[in-house]
Amino acid sequence: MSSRGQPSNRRALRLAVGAVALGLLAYGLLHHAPARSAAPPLPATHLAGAKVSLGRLRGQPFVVVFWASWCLGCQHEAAAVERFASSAAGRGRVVTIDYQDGGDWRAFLRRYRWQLPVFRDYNGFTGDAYGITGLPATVFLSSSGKIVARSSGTQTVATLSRGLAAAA
Amino acid sequence: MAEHTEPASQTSGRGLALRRGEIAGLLIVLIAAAAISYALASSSSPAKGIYGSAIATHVRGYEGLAEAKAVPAPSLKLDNYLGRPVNLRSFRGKAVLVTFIYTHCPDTCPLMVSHLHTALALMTPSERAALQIIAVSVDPRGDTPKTVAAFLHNHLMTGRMQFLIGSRAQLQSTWSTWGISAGSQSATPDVVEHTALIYGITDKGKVAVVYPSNFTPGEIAHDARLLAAA
Repeated sequence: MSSRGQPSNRRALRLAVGAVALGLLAYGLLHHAPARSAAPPLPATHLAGAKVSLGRLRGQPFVVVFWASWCLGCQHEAAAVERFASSAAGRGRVVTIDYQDGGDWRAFLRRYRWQLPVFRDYNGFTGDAYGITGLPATVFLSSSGKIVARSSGTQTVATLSRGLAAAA
Repeated sequence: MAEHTEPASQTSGRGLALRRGEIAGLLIVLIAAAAISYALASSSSPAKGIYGSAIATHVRGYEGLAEAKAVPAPSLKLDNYLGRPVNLRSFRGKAVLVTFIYTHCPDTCPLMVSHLHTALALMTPSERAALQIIAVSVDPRGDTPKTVAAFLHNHLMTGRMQFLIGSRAQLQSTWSTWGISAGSQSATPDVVEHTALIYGITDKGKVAVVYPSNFTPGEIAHDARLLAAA
């Protein structure tokens, strides 16, 4: 009798422990992984370039770059951002936001010859809503306007291309 | 028949060994899963209170990490970047936020100050008037009147926060009083490793709440009202 009951007991125990383990892992992952959330609106203040809106950009993945004129990392990536935005892969798919910048943003745009759409987030409400954790910050959005990935640090043409491709 | 029959004792002994092994394996899986889950779900390492005391969330309505019991703030007397003396005691009656940063800081400090700027924007004029932000330098060499003025200008905080500087001896004394660690590695002398917390002080001069560097502007805006009327 006992030899017939043992395998099923073991199977039940294995299943129970496995289920608990999976549950714990799922809990951890759900609390760790950023959920895809709808992108907050762009700031109302438009500084330069095309005056785009999230509604007009929807239908294709795109990139939002947060920067400030005083930020060294932003200065390091500025040429790459412009190059990417001028390329076939990036044309019309890059929006930038000057984040709480008391510096000379006009000189920055002139120096790096940005033709990109540039908005101003004076009070940081947009950056806060996008959850940025440092400058420069890059946010990749899906074609449905959802935040797919956030990246802190300097971007290159290659990382922007890869991020945009992954967001598609 | 005998070839197919094993002694009962051997059968049960092997079965028991197998079950023990399986149970041990399953327990290891379970413990590992719990550890991974905990590590993933834990967003940041816990900070400590001003005197190394325990702090916790959701205490007395604060959104920051509150001291179990508000404790008197350490002394803070230094000159600001304009050469004017600043004494923490003179802000009794207001909420005060004290933090320790430096102007050449590449990452944490600019973001903290940006978030403080956002927090001010979330507050009403009267709430802003009831709050004083004080930054203390952790870089006596790099934080000069000129660099501090540029830093505050770039972060839209000129006139919105005090930035205190001083000699190394003066600052070290203040860091020590506040339990702040600050120093550079020889390989990267321009980068200062430092405690990056904000201390929330009540209108009665007591440290009631602590914010790690990844605080949100909403937390500060919310708690500043409580600190100003503690």
